[in-house]
Amino acid sequence: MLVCTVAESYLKKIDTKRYFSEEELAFIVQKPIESLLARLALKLTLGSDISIKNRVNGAPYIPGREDFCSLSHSHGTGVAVYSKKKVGVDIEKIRKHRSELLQHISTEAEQRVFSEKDNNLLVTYIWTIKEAVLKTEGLGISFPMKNLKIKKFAKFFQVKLRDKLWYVKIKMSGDYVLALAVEEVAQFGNLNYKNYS
Amino acid sequence: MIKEDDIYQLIELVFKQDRKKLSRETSIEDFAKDSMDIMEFIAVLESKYKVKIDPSEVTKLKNIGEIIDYAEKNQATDSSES
Repeated sequence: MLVCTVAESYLKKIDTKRYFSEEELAFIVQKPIESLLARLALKLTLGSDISIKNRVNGAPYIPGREDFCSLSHSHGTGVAVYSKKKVGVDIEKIRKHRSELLQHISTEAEQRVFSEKDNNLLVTYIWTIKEAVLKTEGLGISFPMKNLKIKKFAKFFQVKLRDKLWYVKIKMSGDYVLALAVEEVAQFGNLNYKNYS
Repeated sequence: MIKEDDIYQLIELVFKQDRKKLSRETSIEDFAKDSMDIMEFIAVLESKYKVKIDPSEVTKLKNIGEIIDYAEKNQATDSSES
């Protein structure tokens, strides 16, 4: 499984026209700059000639390939993950959050799964884990996050979504938390990280 | 009842935005940088003004005007600012 992060600073080092067609740039220009970073991360992983399309639910896919990919971005960084099996990724910059968000997306019992005293970090862990799981099925914030329950599973986390179990690994990457959701724990065995900044 | 100005104040509070630069046409993506930002705003809106927001409707709201209209239509009738 390939995981690639790209920082906004990397854009100064490349010619974006080498990686994106006019059609892609016209699509991306309507979105935050970070969405370009996530797509760039996927192209840096698989080659600049790949085309990235979005399904009706917004989930990305690469026409002609049966493998799976997932994209995420947050405050100056984008990430792409590519795998032979279903996968979801989320990245979030660690920052201050109002307490209402933590209450909105999780229960107190669930918060105790984490031995984390810093609520800004705690809410970021919970958010990224749930968002990564939702992305495996092309869902997003339209799904009520409080309905997902996080459990500890060895070194990982386990979340049930519509009767299917997903396994999640979280990783600190500078000021960011990165969460990867997969169908089988074995997928974590051959992780290959790359970072462009 | 929630007023239009309440929404602007909330955006100023949560996203540290300058009120003078905001209008009904301002896109959500201009102040919310990712989906976590959007959900934080929704969480505060629900908590502070008792606006019930259907999660499936969240991604349909594109600008401040649509947030205002949605909030006015979906505020609990017995609510008051808490």
